[in-house]
Amino acid sequence: MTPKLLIVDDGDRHVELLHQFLRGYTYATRCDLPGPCWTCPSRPGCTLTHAHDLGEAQEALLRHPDVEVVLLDVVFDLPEARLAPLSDLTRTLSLTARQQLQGLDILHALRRQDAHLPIVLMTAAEELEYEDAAMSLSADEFATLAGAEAFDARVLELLIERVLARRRAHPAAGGYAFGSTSKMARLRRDAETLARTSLPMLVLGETGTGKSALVEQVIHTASRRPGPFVAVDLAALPETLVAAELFGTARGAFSGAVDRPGRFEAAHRGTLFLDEIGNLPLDSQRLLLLALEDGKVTRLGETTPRAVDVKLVAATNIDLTDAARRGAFRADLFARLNPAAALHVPPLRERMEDLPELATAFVARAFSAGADRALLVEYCERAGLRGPPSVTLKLGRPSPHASGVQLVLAEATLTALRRHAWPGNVRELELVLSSAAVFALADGLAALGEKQPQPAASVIPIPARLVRDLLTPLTQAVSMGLHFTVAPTPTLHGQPRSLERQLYERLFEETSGDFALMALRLLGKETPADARRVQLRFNQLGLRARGRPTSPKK
Amino acid sequence: MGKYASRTARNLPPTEIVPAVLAMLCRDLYDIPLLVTLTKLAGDHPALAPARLMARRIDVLEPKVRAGVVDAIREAADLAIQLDVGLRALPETIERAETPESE
Repeated sequence: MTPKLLIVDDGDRHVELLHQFLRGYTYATRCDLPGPCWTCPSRPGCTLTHAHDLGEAQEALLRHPDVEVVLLDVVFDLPEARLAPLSDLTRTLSLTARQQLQGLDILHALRRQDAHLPIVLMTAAEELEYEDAAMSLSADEFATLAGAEAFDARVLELLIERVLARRRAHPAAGGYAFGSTSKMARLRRDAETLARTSLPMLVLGETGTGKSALVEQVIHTASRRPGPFVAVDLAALPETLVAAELFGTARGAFSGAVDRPGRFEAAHRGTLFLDEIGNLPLDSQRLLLLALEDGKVTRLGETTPRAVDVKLVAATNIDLTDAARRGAFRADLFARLNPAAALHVPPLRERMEDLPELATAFVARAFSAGADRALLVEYCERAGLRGPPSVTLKLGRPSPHASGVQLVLAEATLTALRRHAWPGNVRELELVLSSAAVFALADGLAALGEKQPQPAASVIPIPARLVRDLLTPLTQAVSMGLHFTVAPTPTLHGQPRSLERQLYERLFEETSGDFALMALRLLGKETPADARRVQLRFNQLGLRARGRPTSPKK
Repeated sequence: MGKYASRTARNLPPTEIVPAVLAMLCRDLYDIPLLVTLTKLAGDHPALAPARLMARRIDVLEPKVRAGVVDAIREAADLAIQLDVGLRALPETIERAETPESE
């Protein structure tokens, strides 16, 4: 998958060099034209090729949420009105000095929006006149300096790949949260080893154990295949459309059919992930077997096969051996998926030793970007906490020397988490913890109110009652028979959020928009405060009550 | 100064140099006259003699570089890189020159 870069520079020099010498990446521009800038007829004199200041950088990041690395100049010869807001580093400096360090103020501002966005600063440490500036960067594990030499495309490419790898592997930044148990270490080793072969792979595990994330974050990345990652949820496709979706169609194949490539062709030179492979209809199983054997697919309605180079990974939570025995799954296809080398992702209850590490990673991830990060930034400002906004989960008691916000989970609460059955596995854990953390911070923000910042404002306990309340609705959701649709999201952080959005949307519809009734379903209580909390979370999830049918106010 | 002069030179591909890259190289080497700039910044300091020689040679190559003569382009690029390296090492060079030899 080709990473996308955003260049932030007041001039054009870096842009030209990067476009000429680093063509293995795509670049986030401020225009709507497709294709790379270096072939664009509008190129001469175009100013939309990159961002020139913080405002344009933020605009570009909104337009391109898939930016993976920011390449940021340090010196910006801009008028004061266009400079980024002052940071702790530049607060006492002259205008000229601020211009010399403008890149750092831009970095500080971008960090408030995204804790883990990789940023490469286009300068060397010895070129920074201010030692404090270089020192402060060492605290940012996702920022790096371009090195001692002048611009060297090969060195820069290595740096870009290094910050990319660091982010992809970091659980708090969306990387797969393996934990430290020996069985997960073995799973990681096996996944990375098998990923580098061309053989199909099978991933087995209960719902919510992170099979999809394992395939995208670990297997596809470790395969180093240049093509894209394409995922198909076979449980979400109507049976009659599966073959067309996978293998494509030709005009005239059926009424309304057009020439359209299927997912196999879309995943050429990359990875094709078939989730819920047990749901594949028998006739499509035959076509899949042919594709695996011949390395070719034929669009429906055509006779000429097309060669495809695809790493196939399939996942399921059903017993395929039993399905093959019953004739529901072809035995020859099952054999082709290499079941002897299948990866088994254990359920959370079999790796409870990982719970503290997973909990810590999920809480950090919850505040890494988006509306929840904005909540954290607001809390840190109102509480008078200095330094980059950060949050850590502490188990048992807070640390006296930690910086940023500490969310404290009492031992008794941790014990309750360990005793929970976790039918939704890791996905459920992330949902519960991220929600508990956000609610606790929101309550903390409300409590700050008009008060002067207190020294202990950096420590927020997560109430046991809150965690208990959050554990209950998911069990209710299972008992209510709600069906959740799992679709690929750009980041792992998106999965529990997607699940939670669906829950709130369904309840909103069932209760005709009555937040008090929703609170009764979710929390077991319907006080005005509980209704407000539910409405706050509804809004935080990006859902809007306006325009939807609601019940009349009581 | 050396950093900007050598920016494109450091990244020249070993194969064909396309017009866009040549234009970038020319901007780096000739938008700001290197020899004039060196003299303006550092006067006639003897430690800068090698750098001035390289800058003068780069200037002499300008017509051929702009015309796309490959040998001239490669030579000018090499000189620009050497100029950058030399200028970065200048403080050390001066210190060595000014330190009396130990007996």
